[in-house]
Amino acid sequence: MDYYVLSQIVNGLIFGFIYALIALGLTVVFSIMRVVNFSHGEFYMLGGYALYALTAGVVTVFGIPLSIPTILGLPLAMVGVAVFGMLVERGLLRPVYTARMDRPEEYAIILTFGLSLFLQYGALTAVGPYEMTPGAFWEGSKHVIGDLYLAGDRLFAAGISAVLIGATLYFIYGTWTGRALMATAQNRVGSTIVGINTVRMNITAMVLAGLLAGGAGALLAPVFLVYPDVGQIPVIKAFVIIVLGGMGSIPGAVVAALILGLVESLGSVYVSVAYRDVFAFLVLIGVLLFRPHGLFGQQERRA
Amino acid sequence: MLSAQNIVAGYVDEINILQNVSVDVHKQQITSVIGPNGSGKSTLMRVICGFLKPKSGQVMWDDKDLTGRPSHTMAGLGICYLPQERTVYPHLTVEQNIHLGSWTFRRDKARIRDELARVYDLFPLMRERRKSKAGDLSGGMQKILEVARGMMIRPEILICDEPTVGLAPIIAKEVYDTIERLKADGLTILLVDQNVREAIRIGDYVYVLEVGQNKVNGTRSEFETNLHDMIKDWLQI
Repeated sequence: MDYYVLSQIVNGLIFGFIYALIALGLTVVFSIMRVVNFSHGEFYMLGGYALYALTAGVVTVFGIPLSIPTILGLPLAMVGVAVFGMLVERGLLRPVYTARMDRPEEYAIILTFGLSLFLQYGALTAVGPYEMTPGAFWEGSKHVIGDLYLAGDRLFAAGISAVLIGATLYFIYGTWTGRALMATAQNRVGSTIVGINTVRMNITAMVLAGLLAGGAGALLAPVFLVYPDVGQIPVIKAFVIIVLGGMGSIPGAVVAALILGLVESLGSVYVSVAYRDVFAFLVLIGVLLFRPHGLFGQQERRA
Repeated sequence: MLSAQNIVAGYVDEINILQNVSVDVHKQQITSVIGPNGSGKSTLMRVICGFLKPKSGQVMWDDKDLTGRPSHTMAGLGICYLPQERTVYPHLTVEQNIHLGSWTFRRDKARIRDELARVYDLFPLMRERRKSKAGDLSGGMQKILEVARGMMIRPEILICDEPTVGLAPIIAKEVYDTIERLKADGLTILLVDQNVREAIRIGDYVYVLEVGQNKVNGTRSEFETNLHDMIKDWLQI
């Protein structure tokens, strides 16, 4: 096989894994809280900035510049974004499902949309429009097979993403908390009456979304750098993915993410790289024409 | 005994759905609450089960004060609430649904196994359909599934809000038979129903609500004789 095509397939899968990380958080939050989180892309951005701040030696704490190894910076960045997600839940989103308010969904949309802009322009004000580069996770180009060489950072990102996706699937399908999440997504009152604290499930969903989006942002930061609107394109792709996979379907999100990654990569080779970001929508339109509920979606399917 | 005293409650500030309602539920009896549409029956259940905080009044369960307690803590106290709407998890199987009923004692594997076997013995139909998705069951079967799931905690009291609404009469009968069977096993039951005849037939004690207030209450025999007049009165003929 032509190594150029092979490298594009591998690259496509790498992107697929990263897209899956972003899309999983989005779909879990939507399933559990019924909130479309438009600020999800900024969770991704914050992951990148957090990694940069922790590892680049530009932030000083008590006069000591922070420059911990990137490999340690990754989990810390993830936790940092997860904590941020928790604060967003507690401070901004809780009224959506606890207070008796008119039109909670609209409130959530405006709110997360506003938060997205606030964080983007906040970052612009705080650190400027410059592209920042955290240090590499795995420096240099790695020999994979034959003539196939890939950037170490991309391989690292794909590997860690695969592990995180696996861990997430195990968490959702293999633990009590995961089952409670599914139950809450499918029937909130039904979960409350068996004793599940649904507010805690909301927090769990936001923490999971923060960990995964923050992780994705940090993993790709050494490859694509960090800047205020770095999360915009990835989050749009994530929206395409969750619709493509079927709203709320977790296996659907993973499969659709891999399909999208491959289509983009191969489309860039065989059609034109200029249309890279258009392929997502072509696939989406194509699939929705034949399967309006998405690949794995069912009517009223949640999680 | 479950006791709701002088409950005043509503969803908005100005309007009180319940204006002053008191209900006592004695152990191992079926207590039926009936009343026309809008009399506040479901609201009363929501208040008792912590889904709506009363503006005043008190809910006591034995010596525990339930007033304003979060709804998810009820299962842990042995209170099983079945609201009027469907509460099964439609995309999980029957078995997964019932299994989640053991959430409050999820660390105790042996107990989960025992309770699951006991619940399947109580509801053999559920064992037969255990691999089916809950959403594929008929409405009546879903209601039975909700009861079965609720039985996992071995509740002391079952609070049932219109369990047979929208069900075919023959399936409704099955649900009422189930409720009577559970009572015979020693369960305390609070039943809200629009089906006045059935509610009085299986109820040991009956409360009638009207526009958010207690209208009358008494034992079954007192009601059976007055039923005709009472219904005429509601329909205002």
